[in-house]
Amino acid sequence: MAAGNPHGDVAVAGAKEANMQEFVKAAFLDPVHQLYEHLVMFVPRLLGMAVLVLIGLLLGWILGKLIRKGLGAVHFDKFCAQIGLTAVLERGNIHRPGSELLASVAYWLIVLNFFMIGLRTLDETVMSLVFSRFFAYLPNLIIAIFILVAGMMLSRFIGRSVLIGAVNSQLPSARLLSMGVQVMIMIFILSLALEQLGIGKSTIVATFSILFGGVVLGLAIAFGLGGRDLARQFLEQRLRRKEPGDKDEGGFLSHL
Amino acid sequence: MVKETILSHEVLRQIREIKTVDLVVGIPTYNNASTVGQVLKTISAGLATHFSAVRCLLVHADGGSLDETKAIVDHTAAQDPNLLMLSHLPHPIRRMIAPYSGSFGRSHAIHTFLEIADSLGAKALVFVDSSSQSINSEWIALLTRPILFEGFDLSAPYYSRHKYDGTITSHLIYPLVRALYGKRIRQPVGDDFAFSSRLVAYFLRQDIWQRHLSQYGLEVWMAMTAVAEGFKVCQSFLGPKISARNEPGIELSSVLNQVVGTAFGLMESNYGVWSQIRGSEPVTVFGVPAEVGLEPVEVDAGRMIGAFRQGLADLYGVWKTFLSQTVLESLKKMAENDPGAFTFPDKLWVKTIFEFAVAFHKSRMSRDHLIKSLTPIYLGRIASFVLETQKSTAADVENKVELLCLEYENLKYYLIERWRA
Repeated sequence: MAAGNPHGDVAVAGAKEANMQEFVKAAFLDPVHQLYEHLVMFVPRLLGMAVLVLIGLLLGWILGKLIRKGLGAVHFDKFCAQIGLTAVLERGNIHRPGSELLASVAYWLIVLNFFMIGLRTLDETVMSLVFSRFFAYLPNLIIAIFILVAGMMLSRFIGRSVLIGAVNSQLPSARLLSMGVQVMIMIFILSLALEQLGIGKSTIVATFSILFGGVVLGLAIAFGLGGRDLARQFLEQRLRRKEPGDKDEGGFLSHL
Repeated sequence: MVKETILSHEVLRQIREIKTVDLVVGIPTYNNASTVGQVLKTISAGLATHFSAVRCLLVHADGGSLDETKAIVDHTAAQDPNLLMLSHLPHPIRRMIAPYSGSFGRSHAIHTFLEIADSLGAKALVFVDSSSQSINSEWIALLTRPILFEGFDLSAPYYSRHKYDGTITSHLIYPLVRALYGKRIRQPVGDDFAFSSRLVAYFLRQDIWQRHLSQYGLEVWMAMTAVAEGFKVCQSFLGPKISARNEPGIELSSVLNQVVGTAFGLMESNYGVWSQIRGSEPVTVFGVPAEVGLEPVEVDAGRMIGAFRQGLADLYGVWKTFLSQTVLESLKKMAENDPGAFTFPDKLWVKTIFEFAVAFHKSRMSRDHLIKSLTPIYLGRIASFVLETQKSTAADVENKVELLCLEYENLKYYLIERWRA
């Protein structure tokens, strides 16, 4: 049996141990160290973000309070009811006064802004891209919401004008007429809002043009064919010189 | 400081020349060729008969008539023997022309008359409707005497009207003004009025002239403002009122909007006054009110009921936003009746009007929409009135109007409660 080399064995064992240590270092310690380093880097950023979000929450709360108080002082809710905004919101299942709603919007805008700024502190490179895109898009979103709300109010106001006018003129299907006008206005408003958001620009414009043109053409044909006699009678009444004994417009109501 | 004025340089020059008068008679015209000649002659005759010792100024304001109105006015003034005779009076009647723009510029014409009367220190201003076919030479005297000799500030017209003529006044404006301010002025919406110099000056100080005052709203504003401010008010019985209006057709809902809108608007500014008043008192009447034969007025109750029913079906959602459930339910029940048994009780009508007034005050929706949506309800009320009074005499109808007025007065607490809520 051949005798072994004790020095060689020691060297091998030492090498193995070194390898093991390297392995342990590479497999466990380095990641832990890196994790530690990351944590050391990340925790202050996280804390910074938390502080920013907290500041956002606080500022939002203060601004919300101020808006609520300020709008309350100028009777903003009464004004909203008068211009029909409250009714529009209620129709959209939002049962909150206008001042409350504006205060909430301001609150969440502040909180969202501070949250985005906080996210940016976590990772400069990735988040700055998201951050810049978000802020570039935000005005479009706000304008689109504004167009929608103003459009809903406008359609409601004009729809009600048409309804009351049609009822007072005793036109049949007054409600249908009013609803038709409201739908037309809302289609137009919706296309404007979507265009503002940059969603399917060309498709929406084409769809709206076809729909609107089609409806107008349809109405023109319908009135032309169905209301020939009525139109002739109307024009005759308008253009013919009034003879003595002719009854006034309004007929049965003239005495009132 | 230079006083702001709407009068043209030419009118101001004439005022400087005339210096002073006692009575200004304003005649606003707009396409009144068929009547203005007669109106002018009648006024001249009235002035000659009753005010020969009074310095008078006749002011004609035309709103850009498209017919022969202006030519007829010039011709009448130059050719009429009565007018020539007037030039030999101790104080000859002088004429002045102050143009204004369009039929809706009537408030501008009235403003012009007020400024001229004020500038000349006139003791009284009277203006008459140039479309009147029933004017007689007594009208000027009846309207003006209480101002010149009895110390009154406002002389309102009191016409004999057919029972179905002027129903906005008899069912809405008269009872409302009476219940609010406690003065029984039968025709607060008239076309012929007379004012004292005190009231003229007061009217001129109001900011109303900077705004657009609608054609039918102005008279209500003047009458309601005068009573609310405690001016001495009287009425002058003028007999029947027949007009030949030649204005573009105006819708009932627009008339309601102008008249009722003005009345409701004044309720807001005069709340402190009317909320303290209970009951009402008669207002002195000059002349002798008498029943006279009047031309029949055509009415179609069936069509009015149809309008009411359509309103209920289509405008229910609009009314729901400001009318109480009780009133809405009662209106619904009413519509279910057969046309023959259709009745609109006084109490329900008064509550409806008061709820509209409160909704107007609280701005429950666009005020224009609010008042225009009253039209079908108003037609329902008038249909019921026509059905109930088909065989009634004018006196019976006047009694019914009196009962309605009492209902307005009795339910005033309801208005105040809801107004304050």
